[in-house]
Amino acid sequence: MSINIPVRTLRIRYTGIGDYNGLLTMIRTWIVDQGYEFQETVNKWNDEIGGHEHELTWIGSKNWTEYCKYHIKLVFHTWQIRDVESVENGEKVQKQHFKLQVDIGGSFELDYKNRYEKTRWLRSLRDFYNNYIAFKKITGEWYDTLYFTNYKLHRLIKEKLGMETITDASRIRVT
Amino acid sequence: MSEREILVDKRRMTYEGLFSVADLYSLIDEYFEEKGYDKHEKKNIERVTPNGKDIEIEVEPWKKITDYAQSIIRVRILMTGIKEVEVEKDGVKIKLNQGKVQLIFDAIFETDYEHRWEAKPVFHFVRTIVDRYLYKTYTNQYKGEVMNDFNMLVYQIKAFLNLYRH
Repeated sequence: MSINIPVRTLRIRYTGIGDYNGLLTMIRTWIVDQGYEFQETVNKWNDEIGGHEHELTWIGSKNWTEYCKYHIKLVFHTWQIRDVESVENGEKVQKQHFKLQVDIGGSFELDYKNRYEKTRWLRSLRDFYNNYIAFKKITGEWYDTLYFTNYKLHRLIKEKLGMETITDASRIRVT
Repeated sequence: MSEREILVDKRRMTYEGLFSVADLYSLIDEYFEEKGYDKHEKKNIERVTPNGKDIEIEVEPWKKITDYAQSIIRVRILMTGIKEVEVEKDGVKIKLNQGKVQLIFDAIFETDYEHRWEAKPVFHFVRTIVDRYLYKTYTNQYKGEVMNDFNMLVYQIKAFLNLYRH
């Protein structure tokens, strides 16, 4: 079996008015534009009295190298979604009021093609490679690339929601 | 498990009045980036209420000092009743925020964060002896580095908030 290494999860919570559908479209487009293969594993919609409840899980996967594969995982949970009319630049716009929680996480998979699975000797070789030869590459380069890519998405979501804290000093770490 | 020593426990700073939320956040973010910390924004919560915005942010950046020791500075920022106001300064109108902000800081010194010295009880014992007696001067030096980073951050935030007092 391949080895899965999770990255730290980032959480955003927002209560207020925003363009909910626009947000989801923007995130989906971003995942696809970055070259990730898009999957929707959970999509639950409940009609409640105070507004709708929506649960979504999205996974974006991308082969980073022949040995390493990235998975970005987004878990959305939204409550009390209801349509409201908002005025922007003197024009009436249809928006939504909602309570949103997004967890941005993911993992990277080593030996995703299971090339080192065939014999015990190869498995030991893989462990040696991961723990000694490529240790710095895995913990530094590959981990950081995925982690700071998640921060790019984190910042985009904050921007789209019009949150106050949209700067990101680490933006230069991933091109 | 790695060993965590809390050097600063829940030191608080409170400010009420005019300031810029984006600039305060940016200051903290840039500070950690400059000091070589890896960013970790655990939580970012924003609620829009009739009395203004309530914002809660928790960042826990870490910096590897060596392969064995790392520094963690946790900052929790709680802002309540944040409203946007327009202020005239030197004849120029600028947008600022008004509200209450509380900052809670923790500084942590963590050893054996790669969990390499915990496989056997003997390893754990050796690690403790080395930490306490043989490497004591190095350990104290690293703790000093954590405290320096922490004090500098507090100083910069204080200076930043004092700018708006006058």
